Amino acid sequence: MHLHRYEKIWLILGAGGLALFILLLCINAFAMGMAPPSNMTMIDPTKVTETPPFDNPGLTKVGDQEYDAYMTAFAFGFAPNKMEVPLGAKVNFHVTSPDVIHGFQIPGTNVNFMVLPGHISSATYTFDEPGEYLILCNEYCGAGHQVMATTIIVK
Amino acid sequence: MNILQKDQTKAAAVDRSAARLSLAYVWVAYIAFGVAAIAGMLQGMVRGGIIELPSWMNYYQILTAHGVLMALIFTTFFIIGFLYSGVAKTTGGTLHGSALGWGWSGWILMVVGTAMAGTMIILNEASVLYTFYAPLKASPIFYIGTALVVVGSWLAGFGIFSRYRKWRRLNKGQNSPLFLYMSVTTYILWMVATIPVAVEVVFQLIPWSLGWTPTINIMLSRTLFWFFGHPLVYFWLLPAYIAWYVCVPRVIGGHIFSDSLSRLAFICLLLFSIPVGFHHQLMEPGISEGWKMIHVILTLIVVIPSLMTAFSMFAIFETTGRKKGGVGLFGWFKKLPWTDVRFFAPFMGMLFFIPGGAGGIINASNQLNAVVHNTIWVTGHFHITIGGAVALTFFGVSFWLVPALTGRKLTPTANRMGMVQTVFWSVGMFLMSAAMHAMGLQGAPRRTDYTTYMDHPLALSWMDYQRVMAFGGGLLFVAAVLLILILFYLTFMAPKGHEEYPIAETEEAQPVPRILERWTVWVGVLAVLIVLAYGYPIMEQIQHQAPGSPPFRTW
Amino acid sequence: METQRNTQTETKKSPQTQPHQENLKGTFAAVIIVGLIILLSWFGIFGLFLERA
Repeated sequence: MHLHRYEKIWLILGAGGLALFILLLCINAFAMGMAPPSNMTMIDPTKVTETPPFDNPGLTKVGDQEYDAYMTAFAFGFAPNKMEVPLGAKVNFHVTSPDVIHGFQIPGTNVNFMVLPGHISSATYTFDEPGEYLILCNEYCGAGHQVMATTIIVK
Repeated sequence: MNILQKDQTKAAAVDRSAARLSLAYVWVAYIAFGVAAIAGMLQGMVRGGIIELPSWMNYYQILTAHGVLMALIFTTFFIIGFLYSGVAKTTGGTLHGSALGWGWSGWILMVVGTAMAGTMIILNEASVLYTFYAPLKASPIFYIGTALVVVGSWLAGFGIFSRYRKWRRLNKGQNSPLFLYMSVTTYILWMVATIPVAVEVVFQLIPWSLGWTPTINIMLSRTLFWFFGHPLVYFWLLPAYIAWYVCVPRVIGGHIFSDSLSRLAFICLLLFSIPVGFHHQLMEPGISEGWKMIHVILTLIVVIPSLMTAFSMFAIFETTGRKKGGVGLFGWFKKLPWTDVRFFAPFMGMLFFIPGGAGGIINASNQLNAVVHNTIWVTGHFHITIGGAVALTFFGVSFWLVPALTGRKLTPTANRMGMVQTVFWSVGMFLMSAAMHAMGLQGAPRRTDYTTYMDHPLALSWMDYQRVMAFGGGLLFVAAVLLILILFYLTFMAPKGHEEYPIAETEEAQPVPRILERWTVWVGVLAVLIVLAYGYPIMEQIQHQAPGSPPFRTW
Repeated sequence: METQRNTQTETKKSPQTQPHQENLKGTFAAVIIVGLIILLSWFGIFGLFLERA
C-alpha cells in the first residue's frame, strides 16, 4: 500500500489537528471543570411531585450570591413558572421530568441539557448580564412542545 | 423478434431480472422521497410563518413523516437498489437465483413495513419522530412496521453476501471488485448497527407499547438507539462514497486513485463509526464524563478515513484534469466535465460535505456540543450532509442508473434538466441550511412548531432567518418535483439505447494486501471495539437503572 | 466473468507512472484549504463556548 508523500503529510496534519482538538477538550473538560452535564442521580419519575425538593419547585438561596433552582420540566411547561435572581447570581439548576423527555436550554449561554424521566440533570450558570433570559424546551415532547418555555429575570 | 430482445439485454448494464429488482427498490425510494418532500416543504412554510396547517394535520405528524420517509425509507431503499445493481454489474452483469430471492423477499417485507408505519403516521398514531424516543408511545403497529423494514433490509443484505461468496468461490485468489468489496463493507456495517435498534424495538418498545411490560428503561433505550443512530449516518454516507470512489472517476474519464487505500478507508469507517454513539448523548444525565470522552475520541478517529477520501477525490480530479491539459496549481479544475450532471451533482454533494464534516467535528466535540445541542444548527448540519452530500450523489447516480437499468439513454435535454435540478437543490439547501446554522447558534430549537415564545424579543429576532429557511425549502421542493419528473421520463419515456454503468478501474494493476479481505479479522476487531466502548456502560445501565417510565401520548 | 484484474491487464499504460509520483500539488493545496475550514470553524465555536461559559 503506497501513500503519496502529500497524502502522508495531509494525514499527519489532519491527525495532529484532531489530537489538538482532543487535548484542548480534555484540558477544558477535566482541568477547568467544563465537562458536559453528567449528573448520575436518579429519581422515580412516577413520584416526582412527592419527592423533595421537587415536590416544591423553586429557588433556594444557598450562599451570598448563589442559588439552587429545583425545577420540573413537564408537558408542556416548567415549574416554577417565573424566577428572579440578582445580577451576578450563580444558579445551580437541577431539573427532572415526571413524564416524557424534555430539553432545557437558555439561549446565549452554555446551559443546554436533556431532561430524562428517572434522572436529575444539573448545570450551573452565573448571570453577569441583566435581562429576561428565555428558558425553552428543545426536545420534542408532544403537541404543545412549541409553547414550553419560561423566563428567568436577572436584575 | 427474439434476436432484437437479446440485443436489448446486451445493451443494458445488467440483465433484466437484476435490473427489475434494482428499479423496484429505487422507485419505492423516490415515491417515499416525493411524499417526504411535500411534508418537508410544508414544515418549512409553517416554521417560516407563511402558512398554517389545517386542523386535521399536526406539525409533528408531518415532521415524523418527513424524517421517517427521508432518513429511513428513501435512503435504505435507494441504497439497496444501487448496491444490487453495482454488485450485479461488477460480478458479470447478473444475479444468481438466491441473491434475487433474498432481494425480493427483503423488498416485500420492507414495503409492508413501510406501509404499516406510514399508515400509523397518517392516522396520527405515531407522531414520535423518527428517533421514537420513549416514553412517547406510538401504536405498536408503527414499531412492528419499522422492525419489518429493518428485517427486510437484512434479507436484502444476505443476497449481497450470497453474491459475494459465490464470486469468491469462482475467482479464487483474486481481489473482489472494488464495488462489491465496498458493498459488503457497507452491509456489514448495517447489519451490526441495526442489531441494537432491533433489540430496542423488539425487547423494549413492542412489549411496552402492547402493555405487556408496564415501564421501560429510558436510558438503555436511548443508548441502544444511538448505538444504531450514528452508524446509520455512515450507512447513508458509504454508498455515496462508493459512487465517489468507483463511479465518479469513470464519469470524468479518470481512474481509481488507489485501490487499497479505498478499501482501507472503508475498513476504518466500518470499525470507527459504530462504537461512538454517546456523542449523541453528550448533554444527558446518567452517562459519566469519562465515558462521554472515550466516545468523543473514537468519533474523531473516524474523521481520518474521510480526510483520506477528500485527498483521493481531489487527486482523481487533478490527475484526470492534468491529462486533459490542465496546467498550474488549479488549471486541472477547469478541465472537469462541468456540464455533465453525472459529475456535477455528486461534485456539489462533495462541496456540501466540507462544511458538513467541519460541523460534524464540532457537534461531536464533547462540551462544545452545548452550543449547538438540539438547536436547529443540528438540523442544518444533517441537511447538508445527508440532504446535500448524500442526496445529491444519489441524484447524480440516479440520472445514469435509471436509464442504464431500463435500457434507455440520458438524453442531452434530460442532462440539462438534471443540471437545473441540481442548481435548484443546491441553492435551496444552501439557503435553508445556512439560515438553520446561524439561527441555531443563537439558540433556536430544532423540531419545534412555529412559536414566538410569548413574543420574547430573542425568538422574534429569529423570524427573518425562518423566512430564508422557508424560501430555501420552497426551492428544494421545486427541485424535488423536477427530479421525480426527470426520473419518470428516464424510466418510461426516454429513447432506448445504451447508457453506461460507470465503473472505474485503477490505471495499472495495484497489489492489494490480502488482509483487507479477511472479514473475520475486521469483524473481530469491531466486536472488541464495541465491547470496550459499550460493554461496561450498558451493563451499568441494566444493573443500576433508574425507575422505569410508563407510556405517554402527548400529541 | 468480468473481473477487475482482467480489464486491468487490457489497459496498456506505461508501468512507470506510479500514482505516488504524480503531480498532486493542487490536491495538496485543496485539502489544506479544507483543513483550514475545519480548524477555523472549530476554533470559532470553541471561542463562542468559552465566551458563553
